[in-house]
Amino acid sequence: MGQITNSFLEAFKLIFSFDPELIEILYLSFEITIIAVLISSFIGIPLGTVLACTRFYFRKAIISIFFALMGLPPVVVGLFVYLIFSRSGTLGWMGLLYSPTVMIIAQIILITPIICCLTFQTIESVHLKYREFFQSFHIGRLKAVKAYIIDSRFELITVILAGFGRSISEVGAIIIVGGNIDHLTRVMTTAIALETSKGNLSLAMGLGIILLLVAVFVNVAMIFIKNKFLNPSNQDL
Amino acid sequence: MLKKNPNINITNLSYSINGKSLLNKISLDISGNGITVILGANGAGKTIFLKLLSGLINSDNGEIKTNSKDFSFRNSAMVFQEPIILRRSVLSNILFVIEKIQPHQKIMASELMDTLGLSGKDNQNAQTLSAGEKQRLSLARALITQPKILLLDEPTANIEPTSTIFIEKVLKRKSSSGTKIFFVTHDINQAKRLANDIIYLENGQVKEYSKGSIFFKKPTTLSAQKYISGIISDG
Amino acid sequence: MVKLLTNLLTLIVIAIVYLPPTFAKSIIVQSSTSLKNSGFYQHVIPVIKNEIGIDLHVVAVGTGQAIKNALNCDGDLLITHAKEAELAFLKTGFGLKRLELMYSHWLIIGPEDTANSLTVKNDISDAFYLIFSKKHKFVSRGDNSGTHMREIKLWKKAGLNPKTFSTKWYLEVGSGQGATLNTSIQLEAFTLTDSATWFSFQNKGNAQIAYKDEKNFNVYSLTTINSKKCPNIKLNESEEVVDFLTSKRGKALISSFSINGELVFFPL
Repeated sequence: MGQITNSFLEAFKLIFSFDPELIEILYLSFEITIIAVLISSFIGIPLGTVLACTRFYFRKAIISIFFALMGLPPVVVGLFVYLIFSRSGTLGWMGLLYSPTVMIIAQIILITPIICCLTFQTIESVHLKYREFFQSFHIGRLKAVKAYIIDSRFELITVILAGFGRSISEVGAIIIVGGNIDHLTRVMTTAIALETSKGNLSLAMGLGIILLLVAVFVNVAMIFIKNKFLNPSNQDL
Repeated sequence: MLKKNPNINITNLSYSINGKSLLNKISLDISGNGITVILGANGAGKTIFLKLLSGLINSDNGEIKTNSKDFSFRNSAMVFQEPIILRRSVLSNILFVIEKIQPHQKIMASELMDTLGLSGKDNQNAQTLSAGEKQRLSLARALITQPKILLLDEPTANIEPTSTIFIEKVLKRKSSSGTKIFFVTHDINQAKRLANDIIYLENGQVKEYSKGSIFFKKPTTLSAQKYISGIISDG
Repeated sequence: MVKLLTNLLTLIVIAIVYLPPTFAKSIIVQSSTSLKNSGFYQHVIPVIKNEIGIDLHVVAVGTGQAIKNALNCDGDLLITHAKEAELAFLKTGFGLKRLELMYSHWLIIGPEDTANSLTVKNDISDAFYLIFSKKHKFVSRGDNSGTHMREIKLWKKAGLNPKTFSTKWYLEVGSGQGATLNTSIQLEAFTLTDSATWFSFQNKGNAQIAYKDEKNFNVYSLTTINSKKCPNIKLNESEEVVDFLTSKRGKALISSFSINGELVFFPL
């Protein structure tokens, strides 16, 4: 019990100390996560939409693959990205290993399937609901797809936030490709791993609590969006 | 020059799913005017028939022909039993189905909203409407496309009487101004109020097709008699 | 189409994040975890930066993994502590030059009540044999790190083969030094570690030093990478760092590093 209390104290001390190192770590965590989530959304949302509204050969196979990719162990992704960007790997000439860029790439590989699959589910349900109506009114495909996206915009925001949550708490992949280098590739989660390995459990938990606060904030944002905009009793739209 | 009377000719229309016949060789000659009410017990094939007419599904066999280019199922609109409402305002729900919105169509939209008792709700989130208002909205949305043929699948099954009255009033008016209406219902009294003619379906086949006045007085088949008197339940 | 988009976006990211070689010179050091966890690098990096203008980007993995990464050309300098593995690395041609830098001590850590039972022995491998014969719980790194390699060596010296050990008392956790210590302390088991790690470790619980090896030391060495095998390697910079660390000034820097008042590294 004492250790948990200590951890909370440590967390608050950390937050209110405005320790430049902590701020640097937080900044990098958010930078990497936000860029990765944005790019994953640019790939995953259109892809999920296409999979939801079109019928083509291998469609079901592709969907199954993406659903399987959602459960990809981060360490495997980390190793895969490491092997590609290692100086002896295919893209080694780019010299990106142990940089924030390669961490973003690993994150994109991890999150894109999640965003794609959740988008697929969201858009497919709207598609099934609207399909007959659109067909009977001869609504063009482009206009239909636009309507699917616009009408599920708030669900799509929660999809993006889900990707964000996964990304910011990820450690297995980015510690391999980023190397957890001080002032360069150290983020919240890899710092927690380091402090744990130093036996500095209170500090590790303290950082964990800050991560938890971020996660709670994201979830509250999700609930807020759901209540404010997805609730049918709400008047303004 | 005299315009010929619009007419719909259906021959040998059949539809089946997985080898199970849902509609079997329907042949009918229907006037292009007035309200045709389609009656029948659950599973008789009413909805399938309506979807075939609208072109939402394709028949296995047979054809549906009209006798002029202007009067065609290409220019039809459908109202579903469960209104499908987009997540946006009432007005943009109506205007959504129009490709390029002209100023006169905006005027028409507000007229339609007036006649269907939706005036003043232009900017309201359509999701917040009552079930009946949603159905009135979907009728308004169908009418703004100025369809020659209007298809309605039990539109008043789950809604309050006020909305039913609004809808029936508008349908009668549209019918008298030349829109052909197909109307599926389970409500015998509603059928009596609306029908110019009746198609009575049973097990995917037309058991009876006659003028409304005749059908309700003297149904020729036993099952139609039972249906009217309420012995065949709607389930 | 999607592929094109992906490529395009990757390029955009690279443009955003990848700032081509910054003004400061830097090298990637593949290092043993114990050195990083002890805070050694925080002690030396600012000085090296100040004196010769080179920043060290330290990737802390086990010695075995560090050498593997170096074989992929993913490091400019190795700082590790497993002589045989380092010599084998030199033999592959990837290693250029190996210099012994400093040493610390090997320690056996054990639970409070049984810790004293090992101190009488005069060689650390005797202590290992005692653990074996009493079937005391022992937690092994099992991750091919420098510490793990040393542990295997010590079992062999005691005439034993850890592959034949029962899992009832010999537990391979396959984790880093910190996780292994955490596990070992929770299980009240013995484990092998080095003095730098132990002094800086903050979750000691009731565990104590059961044996300190005064005969054979934990030697850290620097190995530079052959630029003929790895053309991208920053050989000049890493040689500068090696020269500095092995200079008088560097040795003084190493000797001045202490944890809680205890000196841990002794230059060679």
